[in-house]
Amino acid sequence: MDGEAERFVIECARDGRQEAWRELFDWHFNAVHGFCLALTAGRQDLAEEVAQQVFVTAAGRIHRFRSEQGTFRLWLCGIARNRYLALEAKERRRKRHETRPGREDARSIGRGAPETLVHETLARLPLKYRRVLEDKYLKRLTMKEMAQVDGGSIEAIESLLRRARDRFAPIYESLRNEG
Amino acid sequence: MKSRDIDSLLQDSFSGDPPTAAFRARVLRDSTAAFQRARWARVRWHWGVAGAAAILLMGVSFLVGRLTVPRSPIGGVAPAAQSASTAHEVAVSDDLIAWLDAARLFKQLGMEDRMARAIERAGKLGRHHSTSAGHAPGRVVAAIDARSVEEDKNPVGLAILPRLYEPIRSVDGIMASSLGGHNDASESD
Repeated sequence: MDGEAERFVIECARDGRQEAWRELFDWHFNAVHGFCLALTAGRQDLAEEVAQQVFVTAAGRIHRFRSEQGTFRLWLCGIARNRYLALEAKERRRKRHETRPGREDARSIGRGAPETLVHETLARLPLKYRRVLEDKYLKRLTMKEMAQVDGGSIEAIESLLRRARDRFAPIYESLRNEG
Repeated sequence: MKSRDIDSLLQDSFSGDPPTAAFRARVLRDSTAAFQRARWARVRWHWGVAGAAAILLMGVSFLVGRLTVPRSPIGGVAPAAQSASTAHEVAVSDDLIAWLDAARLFKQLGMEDRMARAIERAGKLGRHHSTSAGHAPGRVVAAIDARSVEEDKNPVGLAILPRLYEPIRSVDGIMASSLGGHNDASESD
């Protein structure tokens, strides 16, 4: 999957083609779910709720996506962040009613920031780097499997992985400094 | 950042349990349904916009069409009346012409009494029409079709009748022309 292919599939989905949407779902579901887990600091139930809302919202608003403003993955992460914040605010309001004032549950606030930054950094990477990092760390493929999927040699995959890490580091640092 | 730090960071970030197949299928189903709903909503919206634009276009076209038609001035003469008055013509009823034709036919057949009755009826219609139209009594406009005149075999009528519409003349004159010099006043009296 390269940038051109993704843009083409997104255009097809914006034209209303269902199979294009399924393709996009397959490409991004696991990573977005991982991002939601990072957002919710590992709370599986909340992460699943956020992930579900992310894809339902994205399916309904895909015609609003503008590729010149960022990658599709970054757009999905933005939706996930907004949905998570909305759910968090709702949960805080509910807990404020149930407990005494001032005893707000601080567990979820500010948690999971490094993991979130990792996902946002990945979303900003060029597709070939993001893909090789996700193949290794998300899908947990071996170098041999990655080479078979990519159709290249193991040395080429190692080189690509090294370059992906090199691109990852400065983006991660800049995001952490912004935060 | 060192490569090892990045490696451990990425490993920690993806260390959670992967989503179950059931959850994945449920999200795919729900999001696909939302995708379809949004698609139909956009289609409906586009059709609505197109319909509204068509209605607006038709309304504007209708108004422009109405505005481009010249209106007659208030109190002025209507175009139809104007053309009629300039041609010195007044429409007469079909009944009058029918009775005149009948009288002509009766004359050709030699049925004098029936011809006289037809002329009498035509005379009454002609006087009634001229009175109701505001003209002087006994004067109407002959509106005899040129074709019927030409079909007439009567040489006297052909000599007298005009080719198209006759100018104003008396009912008696019209009848006399139509019947070849026959005067209904003398007959009816």
